[in-house]
Amino acid sequence: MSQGELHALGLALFLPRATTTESPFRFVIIDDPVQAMDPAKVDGLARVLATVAEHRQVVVFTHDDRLAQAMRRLQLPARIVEVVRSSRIERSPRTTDDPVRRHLGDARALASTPELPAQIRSELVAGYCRSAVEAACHATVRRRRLGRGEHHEDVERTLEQAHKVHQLVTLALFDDVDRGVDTLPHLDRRDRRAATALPAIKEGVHRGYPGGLHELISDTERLVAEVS
Amino acid sequence: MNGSVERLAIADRLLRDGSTSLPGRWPRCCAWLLRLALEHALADLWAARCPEAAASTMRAQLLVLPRFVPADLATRVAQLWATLSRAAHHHAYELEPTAAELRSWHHDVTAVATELAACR
Repeated sequence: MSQGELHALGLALFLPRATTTESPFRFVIIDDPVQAMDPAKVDGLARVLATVAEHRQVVVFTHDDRLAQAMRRLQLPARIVEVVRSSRIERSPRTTDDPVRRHLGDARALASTPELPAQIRSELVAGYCRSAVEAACHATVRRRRLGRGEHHEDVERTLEQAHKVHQLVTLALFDDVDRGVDTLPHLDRRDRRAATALPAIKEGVHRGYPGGLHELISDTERLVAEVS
Repeated sequence: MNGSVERLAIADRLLRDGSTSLPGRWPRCCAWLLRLALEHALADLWAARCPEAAASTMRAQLLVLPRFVPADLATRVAQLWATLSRAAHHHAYELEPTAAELRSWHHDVTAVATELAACR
């Protein structure tokens, strides 16, 4: 058996035992259950854990975002907390419901951080804007392609190959990465401000953004709406 | 202070006190700053040696780099660029870089930027 299958078997034994009515505990804590699991199993595990969570508190630790991502895609109720490790002992947990909103929130917070030089602040804000667009495109492509029955591995390979933000936006809009020349004209017809956000963030992550950062973030939100 | 040095200095500050000044955000910001520092170090090299290269894609810049700097330095720049690029994009299945990783990249970018400056 592979490592992932052994984990699945282990959970199949552990979960019923841990949740018997005789058990005095009304919670389960699971450490890193998705490592080495193939993506389809992760979806299955997400569903199983959601069922357990109807009557128990379920706490899962993982360094792998696939479980959280499966929870979001399958629209299962879960509170996702991200722990950022610093060089010192302290840990800073943050509730992270949706990566798109988190990146946009981070962009806004950074846009109002006066300690950073303006040029560098604009480079970092552009970085968060790009991450928000990337995350929105990933979600759209996964939802669409998994929804019509494509294999997880194929979808992930497609996303991995479209590593530039322009390619991702193209993939999210047309489901065809080769239609890159149509992307900006299409956006321009739909929403001019969303169309201006794409070159602004592409350029901005390397050379900063000279205009208003809050406007850039609003335009990015409109671009996110177009690709979602 | 040039662009590369300035970004390395801010990345260093974030590695020291980011958890108070940019809670939760500093690892990603630090990765971006390191990549930008590397880009600036390259841009300074092109400005001195081959201004037309600066306008080409990063892939093209990395391919012609061995003609201007020692081969092992060019290789280190390309590898560092690839690592930092990966860390700087959104990936659903990966953790944000750790403080130890960032510190080691900071060390590498600082070394590479110094050597690139010597080739100008």
